[in-house]
Amino acid sequence: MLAPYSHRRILAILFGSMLLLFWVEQAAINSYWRQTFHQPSLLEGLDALPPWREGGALGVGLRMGSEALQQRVGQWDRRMIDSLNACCLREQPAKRESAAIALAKPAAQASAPAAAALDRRLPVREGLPVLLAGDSMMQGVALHLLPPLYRQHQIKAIDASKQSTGLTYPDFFNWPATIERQLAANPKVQLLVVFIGANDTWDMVSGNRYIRFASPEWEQRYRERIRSILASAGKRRVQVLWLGLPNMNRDKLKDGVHYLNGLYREEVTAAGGRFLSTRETLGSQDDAFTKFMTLPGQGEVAVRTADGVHFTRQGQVLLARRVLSELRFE
Amino acid sequence: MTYLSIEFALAFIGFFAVYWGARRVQGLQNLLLLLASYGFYAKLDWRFAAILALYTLCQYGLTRRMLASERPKRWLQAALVLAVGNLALFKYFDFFRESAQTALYALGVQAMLPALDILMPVGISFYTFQSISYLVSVYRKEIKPATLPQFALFLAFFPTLLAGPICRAQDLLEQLRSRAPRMVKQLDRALGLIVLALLKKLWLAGWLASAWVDPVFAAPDSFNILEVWAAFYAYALQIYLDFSGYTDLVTALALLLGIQLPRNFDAPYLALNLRDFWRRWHISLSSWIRDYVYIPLGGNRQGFARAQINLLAAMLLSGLWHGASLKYLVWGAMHGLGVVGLNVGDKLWRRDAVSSVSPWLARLLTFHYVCLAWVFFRAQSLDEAVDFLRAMFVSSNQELTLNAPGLLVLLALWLWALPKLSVLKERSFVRLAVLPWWGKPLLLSLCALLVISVSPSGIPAFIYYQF
Repeated sequence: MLAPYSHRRILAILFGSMLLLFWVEQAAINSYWRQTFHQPSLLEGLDALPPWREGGALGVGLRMGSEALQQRVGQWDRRMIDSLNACCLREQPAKRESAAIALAKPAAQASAPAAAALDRRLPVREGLPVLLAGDSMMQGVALHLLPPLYRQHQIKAIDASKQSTGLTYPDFFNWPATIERQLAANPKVQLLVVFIGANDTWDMVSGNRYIRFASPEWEQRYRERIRSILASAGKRRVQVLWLGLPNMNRDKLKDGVHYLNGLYREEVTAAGGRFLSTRETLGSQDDAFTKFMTLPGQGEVAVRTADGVHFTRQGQVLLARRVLSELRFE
Repeated sequence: MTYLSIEFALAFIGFFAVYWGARRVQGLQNLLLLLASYGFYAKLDWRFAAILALYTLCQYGLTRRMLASERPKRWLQAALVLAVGNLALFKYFDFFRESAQTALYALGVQAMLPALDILMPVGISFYTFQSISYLVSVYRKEIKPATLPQFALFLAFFPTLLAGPICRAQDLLEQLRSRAPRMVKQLDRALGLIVLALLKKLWLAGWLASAWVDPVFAAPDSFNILEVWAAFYAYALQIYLDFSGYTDLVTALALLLGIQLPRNFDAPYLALNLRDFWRRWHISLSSWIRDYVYIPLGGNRQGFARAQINLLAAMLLSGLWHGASLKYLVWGAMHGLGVVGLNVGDKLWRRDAVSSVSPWLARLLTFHYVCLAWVFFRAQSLDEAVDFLRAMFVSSNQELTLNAPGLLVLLALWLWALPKLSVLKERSFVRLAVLPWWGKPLLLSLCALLVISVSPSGIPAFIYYQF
């Protein structure tokens, strides 16, 4: 048994490990810090020192190496999947006899052309995939969208949603680029559903400058990011269904969401997409946050969680149903 | 602020310096721990800290009354009612209200039960069980009663506050109030456990969840049967890596503060039968349920049949402890019935009939049964669990979208290597010890960098925070 180290030495070990990590991962830490605390991290003050920047370069190299490796593994994966599919499996949607299919089919096929013209729902073809994008709000709703889409319409949904993301901090997570990549990789996608914005009511960062939330410059940049997503979909003739933000019960978000909804509504409508307000689905008719709503046969049910942002399971189900009701399956 | 965030790491290093700076005055060290624990908890939500403080005060007061009373059992019962009532209010109120509301509607009663806006404090299930351990130990005179600051620290100790392990008063409380000077006795073990936690949670559990478990569980029938089977095994591995990774991390934090936490895992998927599994999985919960539920119910002292009923009751409670949901009840019942079945089998044939013939067959059978129960644990509801199981057995001819054969091979390799992995872990800690002190940060940060570079981005939350 070795003698225990002095506490100073242990502190040096812990601190040294931390410092080395910070040195190499400085870029990731800086963007995390800005995204979480909405101010620059102390590390950014060290950028003037060339030895400090060296660590950043090392970090970039490591990141690129790791991405290249992951890409190689991904390609190998893809090849293995393709060869397995080619040798043993033919592409055909599963013919699972479920009661849901039997129930859903007649309704979808009953629409005559004349009725279809009057029908404001977005037409989607059975068997072609849809892409779901957004933050943790979408993660919750996606859970209840995927099964009915597949079971009733053989539509596979690609769920690309990721918590703590948005359009304000592209350095942290770049949604326009992600959606462009996803649509390029999945050319059969016919519809993009977006539910985003809960992490977006903050100042933006440009170099060492802050762009105040909702200022004209902020708005211009934010609109460009929305447009970029809409353009990715537009050039591939992918329809867009953009969900508005519900009322929130968190100080910073309360007013911000109404402003953001205005931007989404204008941009999406201008690009020929469909903007869908969600607050009515969750029991609000105005700007007031409601945690509970009365449902037939269930009484008062909580639809929002305690954090004043997310949805309970019941809330997620209601939103998923609302999305489905906006689609006409052909 | 979770244990795996940058700000926590910074705060912990700062706290470490101050804490060991006060090492000559143990009372001051404990005061610092108490303040840090409450600060950490209040940072999550100040109301959580307020509820814990109030709960601590009430239980402390009841313990004092119990000690001064001629009829201590009554006061113990009152304290237990408070513990269970407090937990039930925060954890089960909504479930009971909605169930009662549905029942009223079914009976044609148009009454509205009030909807309370209740927020469940993270960690409440863990500190409630710890407080019960303290109350019973004091009542049985196994330990001396604690002062208020000691008791408060025992419940709020920040490394174990959010998700255990559930510590016993005889262990953690005694360590906290021991007069012996505290020291970091196992630095290399602590450093090794931190790396292991990053590897398990940040990389492996994160990857399994995002690439396999989450997509397949969300819509199992839209995947090929092989992919569903791969996700079936992947979740068993994910939950183990998630929870044992969490335990490794908090054990390391406690070691760095000079405190030893109880063991929570002992290679659970090497269990030869279900009884054995429960000696190896979430040990602090299963042993708590054994000592405070199963044995007080009568244990096996009243004959075989009664012992099985007690066992089933304990297992159902273990399921419900995770949450007020039918799926947890089913999960608990599956484990309860499994162990009862095992006991009946032992009686009819002989003990360890399978494992004595082939340990690997026994392991595989146990592992599959545990995986089957996990499906109910993971699914959002009973219906979803049934959908998942149906997708496992209904053959589909869909194209693969995930490399299921690849993952199945990896999982088989992991199972095969499992006996060697636990030995490897201990060996690595020993190797780390011979490294000179200045080499440790180099190795530690290099390992962490490698893990971070292949991990999904973002700060992950642990599965067991929700309990």
